[in-house]
Amino acid sequence: MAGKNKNKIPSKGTLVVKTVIAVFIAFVLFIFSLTAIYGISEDFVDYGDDTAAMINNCNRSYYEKDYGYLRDSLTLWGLYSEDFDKYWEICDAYDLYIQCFEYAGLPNGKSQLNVLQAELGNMKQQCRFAENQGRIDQFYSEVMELSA
Amino acid sequence: MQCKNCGSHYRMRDLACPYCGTENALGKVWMKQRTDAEIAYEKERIAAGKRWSPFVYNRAVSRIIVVEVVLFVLLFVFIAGFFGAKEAIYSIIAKRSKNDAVEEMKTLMAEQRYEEMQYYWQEYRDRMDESDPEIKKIKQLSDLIYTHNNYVNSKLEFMCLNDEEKKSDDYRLAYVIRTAYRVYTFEPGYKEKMETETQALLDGYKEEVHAFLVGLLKLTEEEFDELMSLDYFPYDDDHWEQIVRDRNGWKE
Repeated sequence: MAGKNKNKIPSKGTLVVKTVIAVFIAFVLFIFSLTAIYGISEDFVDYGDDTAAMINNCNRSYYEKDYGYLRDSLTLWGLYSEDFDKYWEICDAYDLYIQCFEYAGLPNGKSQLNVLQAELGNMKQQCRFAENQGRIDQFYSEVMELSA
Repeated sequence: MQCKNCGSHYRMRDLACPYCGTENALGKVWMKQRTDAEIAYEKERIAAGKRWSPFVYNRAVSRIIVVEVVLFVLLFVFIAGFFGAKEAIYSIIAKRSKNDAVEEMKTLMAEQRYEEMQYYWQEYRDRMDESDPEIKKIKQLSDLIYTHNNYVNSKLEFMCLNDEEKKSDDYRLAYVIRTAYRVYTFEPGYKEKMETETQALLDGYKEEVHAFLVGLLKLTEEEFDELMSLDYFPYDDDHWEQIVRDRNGWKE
């Protein structure tokens, strides 16, 4: 008779199974969509320039005179742009300063000591950053006492 | 339909002709069938009682499932297309940027800006063709620069400590001696020959390491030679650190 199948009451089991399937597919669809949105949006996120954060980080070790950690940060993050020249200048000066003491301690290190002293003297004369001048002057006067 | 009595036209469902009143047998059959269907439907509806909504619910859930499946397929196709196209575009960009990086590294090597060159190398090494002789040279130089950087950074970190900190520090001194050892005993990779530029740099670095360990930390020449002739650095042994601390040769 027409309409008989339409009037058949769906069993409880059928409804439960259909409900579970619908919920499961909805959940998978939701997770899939979120993952896709996140993956696609990553390509459009502009993380911006973190130079300011790096400078901030370098300033901390610069003012604490922790030149080893400062140089470690510069080399680790590849900070070779002009923004970081001030830090490279003081690290290079400090490295020269230490090397002077190394060669001063060698019996036949005098010639190399003179070379390093001259290099440090040049750095003192051509110091590009006023904040480094005082410190480089101090390094220079200390290493000149080694040959006195 | 047409009335057999008066010939008028009326609906098939009517029980009688509305004009002459003649009974319509087809109308009666239709009405009986409709009544039977209604009665059966009503019976089931009453039997269902408060479960009247399952009919609607069942249909709704079925349609929801169909829509979800269609959406899932569309989303899958879109994502596959998007990421497939993205990979294709990226591989073109990556190839171009890799070529740019190689050119940049060669330029930096020619200008002896080795620090920057080795940083480029660290960034792009996974994508480099190491069978290229120029790349091999860059790789070897970069490995040496990297090792030397570790040494210089650890040396400066240690030297920035004050005298008391140097004596009590149990990490930085060991690390700087270890990195000094690595620089001095640097060798090219398996079956590689030492490149000329690498050898020239290494000779200079070896002098630096010697000056530091002997000139500043006050190891004797014999102790220095003994340390550098070891096959591997003794990580569990603080023999060398103890010697250095006892001699207290550094400048505060």
